[in-house]
Amino acid sequence: MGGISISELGTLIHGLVGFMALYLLAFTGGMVSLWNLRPQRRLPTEAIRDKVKGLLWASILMAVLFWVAVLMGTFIVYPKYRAAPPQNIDPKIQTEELRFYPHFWLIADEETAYFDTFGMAWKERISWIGAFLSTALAFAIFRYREQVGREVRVWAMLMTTSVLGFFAIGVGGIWGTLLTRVASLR
Amino acid sequence: MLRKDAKRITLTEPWVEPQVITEDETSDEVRTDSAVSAVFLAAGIASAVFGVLVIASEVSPRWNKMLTFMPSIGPLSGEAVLSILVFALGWPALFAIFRVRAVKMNVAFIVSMILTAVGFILTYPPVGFALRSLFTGR
Repeated sequence: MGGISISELGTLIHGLVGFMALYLLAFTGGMVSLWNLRPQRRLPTEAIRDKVKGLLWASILMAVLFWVAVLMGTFIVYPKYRAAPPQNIDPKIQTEELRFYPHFWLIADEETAYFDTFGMAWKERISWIGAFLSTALAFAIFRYREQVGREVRVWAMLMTTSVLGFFAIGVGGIWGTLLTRVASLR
Repeated sequence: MLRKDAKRITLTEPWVEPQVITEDETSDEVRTDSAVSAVFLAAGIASAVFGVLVIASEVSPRWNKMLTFMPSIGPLSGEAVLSILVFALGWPALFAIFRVRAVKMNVAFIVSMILTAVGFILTYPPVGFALRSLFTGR
């Protein structure tokens, strides 16, 4: 086949599931359901049951996507990002050859080093916290079901966790997009 | 079943359906639920552990080396593997503890949010830079 390696496929899937398309879709659906379930609305049991079903699936999807994204990002994409150039390439000059080694290409120039020392460092770490939070969120929704639409405290707890999880994936996604534009993996 | 008189319900088994505590949803009733408290607390602890390991690898070359489980990934490999273990083992362990000794869910959640905040702060790169220059002068 003329062209896509396992790690390139990993990079593509990581970018796809890590943020833009699928996660945003699941998050938007989940947030709409959660907002509509706020206990102050005093929805009838049937309506709560219907909305919780969507919320539960969205939260499970978010948790699965989060784990796929961080595991692929850390164990498949990141080693490629960190790969060292061969000895015949000077790692201190931003040449076209060095572009194949994004970590070294970025730190070779002060103007781009920030993307590695700040952007990549933040993105690679904060995403893990999001994975833990999204798992807790999905489990709590699975456990409470209709109570999400009845108890203010349960609802507030889930809303707080959703927002924090979104913050984590947001940081990861935004820096991932910026890094892809500045020094994409080839 | 609605219970006007009940002030607290203890749920220690994961298969027990959570119940409505009172008719007034906005009241100050406090739920205790070992399964959900355990997962939130495990997530908080894993986040804080992740943050502490990040700082350890930043300030100490020895820790940096110890956490490098996979050279191609660097210390992130150890930070990730260890925090996954903390989360995966902490969840059932805390659940077992909370079955014996019930904990209020709002307390567990607040503690978990504090630990998560610790994780967020310690994984923010400027915090690592500041601590590294403080401890090592680099």
